[in-house]
Amino acid sequence: MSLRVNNLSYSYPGRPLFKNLTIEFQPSSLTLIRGPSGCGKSTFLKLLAGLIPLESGQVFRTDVKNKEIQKNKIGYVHQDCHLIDHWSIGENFCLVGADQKQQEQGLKKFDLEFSLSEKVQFLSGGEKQRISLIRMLLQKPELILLDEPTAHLDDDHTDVAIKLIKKDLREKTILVVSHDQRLTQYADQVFDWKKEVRL
Amino acid sequence: MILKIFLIEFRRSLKIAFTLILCSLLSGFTLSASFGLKKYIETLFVPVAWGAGLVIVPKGVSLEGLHRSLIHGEPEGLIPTALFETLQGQINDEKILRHLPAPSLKVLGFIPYKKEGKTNLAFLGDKDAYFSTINEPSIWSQFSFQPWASQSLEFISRAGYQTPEWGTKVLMGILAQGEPGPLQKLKELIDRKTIAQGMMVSPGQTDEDHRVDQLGKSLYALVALIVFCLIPGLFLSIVIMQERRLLIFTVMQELGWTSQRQIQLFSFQLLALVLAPGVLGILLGILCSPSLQQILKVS
Repeated sequence: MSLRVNNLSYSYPGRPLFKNLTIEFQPSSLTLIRGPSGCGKSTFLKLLAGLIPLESGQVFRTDVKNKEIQKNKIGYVHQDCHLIDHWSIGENFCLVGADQKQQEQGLKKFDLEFSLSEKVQFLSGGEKQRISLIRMLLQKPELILLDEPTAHLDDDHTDVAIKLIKKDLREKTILVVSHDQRLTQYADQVFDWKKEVRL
Repeated sequence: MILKIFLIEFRRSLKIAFTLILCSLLSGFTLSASFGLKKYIETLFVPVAWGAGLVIVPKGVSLEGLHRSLIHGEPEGLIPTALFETLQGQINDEKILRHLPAPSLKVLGFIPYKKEGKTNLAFLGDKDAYFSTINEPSIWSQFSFQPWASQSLEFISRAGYQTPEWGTKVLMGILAQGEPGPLQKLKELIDRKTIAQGMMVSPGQTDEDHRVDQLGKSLYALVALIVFCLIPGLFLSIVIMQERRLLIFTVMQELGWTSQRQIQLFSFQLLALVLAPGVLGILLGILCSPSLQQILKVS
């Protein structure tokens, strides 16, 4: 998915985050977005994911005639990993309509030796983060938006997770917001928020 | 898919879901059953001032029985109109013999019947002369009075208003007003007969009415207690369900689900956990109302 952000502006009351931001993201690439905390990177991802409404500007696809981005084609994962705690792993996967075989394969690939009936509330932060990533991949998204996806992962699991995301999603666009220096090696391009974005 | 999510959430929140269902069911049941019982108690508890010093009713019929007969428009017993005519004749004879300006006693015969759902009273005697001396006719003000002769055809054909001995010339009771002395004599005279009995009455609530009043108050207290106990359970269940639903909505939103599907899920929950059990409770309350009334009656 080729994505273009045109003249996007956003501000919190009395605090502008960015103004007339224009960027184009190419498909088959992982773009790492870096910048200081509180500069608006996560808000930018939420705007792209459609979780908060646009104030001004446009976000659209440039690779198809119909420029609209379908919401169910967006995979969004953030560090708080919104999983339904009182449900099992399998039940959380049900939300994206994957079958049991795909779910089990997902667990295996991410080095998780749980059964699908395991309750999410008993998992550690890192395990929950990997479950969120599996769920996102099972959704088969064309645009992947990841906000600090490796905050709770060690080096080995970070390596596995990012490789799997890049491997399975060759024709997709991946945007990652992170302070994690380890991710630089996986990035096809790095977007420095402080340099590129004006207030 | 929404149904699947609803079922997963139902299974995972089984205790809370059942608490909510139970609270809704009990609330519906308590409200409708208490409403039915309240109506029933109201029929028992209509403040009675008989407006008479003596009430003559068939043998075996109590004052409460007379009360019920009036409320429901169906007499629990019958006496012949001849008894009324005899009494009226005796009173007139006494007036003439003693050269009195007015009769020492006034009597009024009556029989209740139902017409278009409303209780009517067919009466014998001078109703105006009788009731003009009572400032507040109380219970009598609720009924429509019709002269016996003109209205008797309306109920005369019904089996309940006929007896083998007296045919259709029957009454439910006779009210008598007058000085205590003559009323007492009249009571003794009536009590000697096998078909009727006289009961001296005084204005105000009877003990039975008082008990019914207490019963009503106890019922309201019980309903209030049940509802009061249900509220915390209901509130807590709703709060927990709401918290869990918000988390599900957040996840659904992040996965690109439309708000329409979130509303669908909420509607399923509202329908299955609150509305359906609530309505079921109301229906059960309505169905059980007659049995509860029976229990109340026995107790």
